[in-house]
Amino acid sequence: MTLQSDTLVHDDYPQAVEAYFENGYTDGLPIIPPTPEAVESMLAAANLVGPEVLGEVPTRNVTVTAEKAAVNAVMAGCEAEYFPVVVAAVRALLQPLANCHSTTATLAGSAHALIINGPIRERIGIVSGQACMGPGFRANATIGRALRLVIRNVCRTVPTELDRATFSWPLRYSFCFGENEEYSNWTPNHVLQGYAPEDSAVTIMSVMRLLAAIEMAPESKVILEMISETARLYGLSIDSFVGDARGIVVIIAMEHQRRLLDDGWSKEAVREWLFERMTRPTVGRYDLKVNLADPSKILVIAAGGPGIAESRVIMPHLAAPTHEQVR
Amino acid sequence: MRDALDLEAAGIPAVCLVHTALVPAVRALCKLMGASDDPFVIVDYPYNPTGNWTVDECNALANQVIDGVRLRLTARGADK
Repeated sequence: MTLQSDTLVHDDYPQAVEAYFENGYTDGLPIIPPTPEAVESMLAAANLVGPEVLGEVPTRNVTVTAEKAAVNAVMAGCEAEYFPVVVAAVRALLQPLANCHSTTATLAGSAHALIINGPIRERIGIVSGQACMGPGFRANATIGRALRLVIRNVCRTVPTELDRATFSWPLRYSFCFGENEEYSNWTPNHVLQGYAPEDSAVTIMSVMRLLAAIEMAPESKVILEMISETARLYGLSIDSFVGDARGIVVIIAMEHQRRLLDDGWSKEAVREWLFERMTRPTVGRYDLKVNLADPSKILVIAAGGPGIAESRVIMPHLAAPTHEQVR
Repeated sequence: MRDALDLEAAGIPAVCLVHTALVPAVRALCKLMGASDDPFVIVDYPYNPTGNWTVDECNALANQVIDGVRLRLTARGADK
């Protein structure tokens, strides 16, 4: 296989790592030097050739090829078997409704959540339970980081240049987790999006706010009320670019999920109930309507471990959730 | 900025107004587009980069940038 990227030659591993810092190719952390052999292993794992186009950022005249994604996946520390997930994530990000340009250049500094469904989680070790949003798990950490490195190095979203985030935030290093499909009989997210249970898929969601909805009360409707109130603290405006595709993500951890399951709530019922509450008219500065077109635009995800009775709500930034099958 | 470049390419005169806070991004975008020297007019403080401007602020801002806009439009005309 012939790679198209420029070849950089370094005397040793530490020198290569330093050179990537000096050239501005990193997120501020050391990278794994992308040797041709490692890049080719990535491509082989996804059964792709380097020139295959994964998508474009038309505003910037940027085309993202499989080879460029593979280079950045190696740099991020991915194992080759992770690469099909990275490819799906890049493709999802470059769908028009994911609005790559705005969500990565914005003054508001939004991040992206990458949610993984299907058998691939088990095969490569994507964590969906305890501490799944934090550090400590190679697949979660490096797949999320690979996406961010593609955003930086291929899509040219360099902080202080094209990336105009006022603060930016740590979720921009990496934010990837799986859905816990095994804890209950809830319909997995990817199945609700039209994929088969045996498929694997990624969902990407821009993250303007990641809100904690903590409610210790045991009553399931009190829990759901807290989730609705949390979303309504900020509300969601009508977005003419995204239109009726705009959505939010509600991530329900184990303690809340247990209460809901005990009371017989399905995912579909949860989102119907939340939709009715969230879309009520605005009544005050901290009780704002969440403008959603229908209940399916509330993506209910089961994830997280036991412990605090908490759910989390992701509010978007000028983009809709997009999905892509892992092939 | 991209809109201005596309309009210009279509033969429609356009000048992009850019707030100071976004100038590095616009320069980066121009460079990607192969238009690194393309002129734009900078809007500066006290006008905020985002948020609502009052009608009075809009009028004052228009008066502030009009000469720059005219200069760039006529300079391009002279080039052609």
